[in-house]
Amino acid sequence: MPHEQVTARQLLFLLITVRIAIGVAAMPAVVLTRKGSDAWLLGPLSALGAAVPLLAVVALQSRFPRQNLAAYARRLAGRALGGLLLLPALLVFLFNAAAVLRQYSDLMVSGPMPETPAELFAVLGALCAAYIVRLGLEPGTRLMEAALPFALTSLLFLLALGMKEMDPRALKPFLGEGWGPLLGQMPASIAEFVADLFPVVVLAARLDKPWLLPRTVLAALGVSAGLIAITAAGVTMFFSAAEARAQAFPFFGMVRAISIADIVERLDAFYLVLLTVLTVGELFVLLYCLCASLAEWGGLQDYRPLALPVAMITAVCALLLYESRGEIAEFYRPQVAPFILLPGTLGVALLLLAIAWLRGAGRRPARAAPTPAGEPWEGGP
Amino acid sequence: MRARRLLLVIAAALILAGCWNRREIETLGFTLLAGVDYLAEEEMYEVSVQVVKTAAFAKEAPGGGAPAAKPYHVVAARGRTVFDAIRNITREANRKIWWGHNLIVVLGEATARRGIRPVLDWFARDGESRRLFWVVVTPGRARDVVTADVQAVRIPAMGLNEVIKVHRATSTAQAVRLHDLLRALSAPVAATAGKVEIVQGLMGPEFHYEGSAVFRADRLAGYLDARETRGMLWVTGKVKSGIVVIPCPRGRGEVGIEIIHTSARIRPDLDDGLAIAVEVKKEGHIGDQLCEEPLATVEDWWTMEAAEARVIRGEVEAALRRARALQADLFGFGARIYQEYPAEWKRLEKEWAERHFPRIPVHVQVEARIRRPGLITRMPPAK
Repeated sequence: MPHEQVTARQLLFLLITVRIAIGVAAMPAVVLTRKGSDAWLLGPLSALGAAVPLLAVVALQSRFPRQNLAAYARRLAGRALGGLLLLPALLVFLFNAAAVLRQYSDLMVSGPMPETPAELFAVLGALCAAYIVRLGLEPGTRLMEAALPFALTSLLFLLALGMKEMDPRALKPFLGEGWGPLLGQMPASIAEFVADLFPVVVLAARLDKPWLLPRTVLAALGVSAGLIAITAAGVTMFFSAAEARAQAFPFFGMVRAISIADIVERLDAFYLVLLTVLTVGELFVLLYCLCASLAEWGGLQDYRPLALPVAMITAVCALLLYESRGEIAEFYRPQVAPFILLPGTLGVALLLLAIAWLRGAGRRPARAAPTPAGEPWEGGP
Repeated sequence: MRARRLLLVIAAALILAGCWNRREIETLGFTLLAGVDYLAEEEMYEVSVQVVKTAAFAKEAPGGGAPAAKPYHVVAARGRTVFDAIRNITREANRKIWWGHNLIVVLGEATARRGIRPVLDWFARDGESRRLFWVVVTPGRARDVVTADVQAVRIPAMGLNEVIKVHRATSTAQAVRLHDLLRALSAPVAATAGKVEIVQGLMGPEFHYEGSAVFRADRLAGYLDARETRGMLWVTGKVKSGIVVIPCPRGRGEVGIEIIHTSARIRPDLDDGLAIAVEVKKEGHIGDQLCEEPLATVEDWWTMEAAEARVIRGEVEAALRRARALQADLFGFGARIYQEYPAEWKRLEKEWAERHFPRIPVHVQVEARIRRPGLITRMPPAK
């Protein structure tokens, strides 16, 4: 395996990218269909709910600070059983990557380019991400380190431009329906948070200071929850709760409707650039996780040759996994999403954690200097 | 390595050379004004559009002079749905209509009375159309507005666009975009839109943009006149400019007060049964004065402010009477009750427009301030 390292800040950026690229930028209507004027609360509440499961994931990862999920799954359960345990997690990565690509393609085809085949966007997005994975984790991370602050600032800037049309009264009544509907939607939202930040079990193996992992994950959780809350509130104030729920892509819809003095308008192109950057960033992370896990499990020296085939499989899944947007919405229902996303993430992590505890495997990360380049990774092939 | 680079160049050439969605400007017909009529007998929608002839601008004779042909033409088509009709226009126009620059959609009265939600659906759903165009209602057929040969401007659509935008000079009409209308349609408030008519002016047909169309749910319920429209705008805090004419404090003649700044607040109150308190605040300057008396004392200004408050209250009450008659909550009282007292709203919601809104006590409080007299304090008396 290439000896790559990422800093805690870089890991934070990668995790934020994974959580917010589609969650905030495209903001699928499913985010808002959950509870009208209180939809903005769902982000922070779900982040709080996701903190405990994610800390369990972090506890597992912290026992094997220089290894990724595939490595310690094999170490704890053997090659065959470890592979079986790894499979649901890989499916979650693949599913997430395919869903991101599908949402991106759908937005491009529904909005600016209705006659361009969705296949083109899926394949091009996957190719771009594969190219970055091919470059390696470190160059890709540096790219996202440069791009994310720009993308986030721009998203917030777009939100600020929409403020002229925003009516804060759209957020009232506060908890008009009580906590019930909001709590009812939380399992799906928590599952999304856990699944989106689950790449930490692969990325953290490259963290230069493993003891910073818990605070990095919590920071990613907090920042992404804040961004989701701000954008959900902004979009709700812009459209009103009922009208926002009717939008297929509320943030995109908002950008299209921004008009200041008949001069500042038609910002779609700018927004689509941001969305493309964030989508490719998210895909890069997920493809890296897939490739690195598969390479580790298969005993390959390098994960990078897997980038292109995995990307193409992802593109095909993006196009075939869902018949329509109705199916995507169906997936995000509280009765469905937790039962698919949580077993592959939290379930696997808890099982491995239990095995590790029973077998006394792994150790708490000690404050130590980063592994010098060239030194073999613990548990590496 | 060389082969790989060559492959990259070929791939880039294939991908970057163009796209499926390319639009050549000469193949597009830019519509600026569209009208939608429902034809009850045929059970079909008719969409008429004013399409700009871009070539007419390019071929203007050097040195000026009146252009020979109109820089636009009007085409129309029918269909079972609005989108069907829009696509059928392509047959008449010989080119694809481009909706990205559309400025105005006019809804005929029959369309508005039948319900505007299905009509606006395509405009909100399609990626080409934007939510920024004005939506107006005409008491007759929308087609008559689209085909009106208004002489004062080269392209009537742009003329109407300007008329709508300058409405704020009087606040007796309102400019409503698709975005505003859709937002209102999904809230517990009666949606309103601008009202346009074609009238015979000195130089031929002209657009007359005044008053408002009022919707109950998504169906046209009736119209507000200019005074009632301004009354509604006072309550919703949307009066931007205009003149309030009041009597001079001590004599014959009038004073015209220019509206400079307004704000409004709607406050539902449950203390002694449900009631609505409306507070309107307005600041203005003296714009002109027909009486000769000097308006020099503070008492004069107080008298004028009180008179102005009475005029504004009268406009608000006129709007309220009309809204109650139409059973249409133009002001968003229901929305405010929902926001402040959601439990109470659940009880009122079902019969709000028919039963509760027409009877709810509304206390209007107007605070009018006149700040400055302009650049002169009064015209010197004639000798």
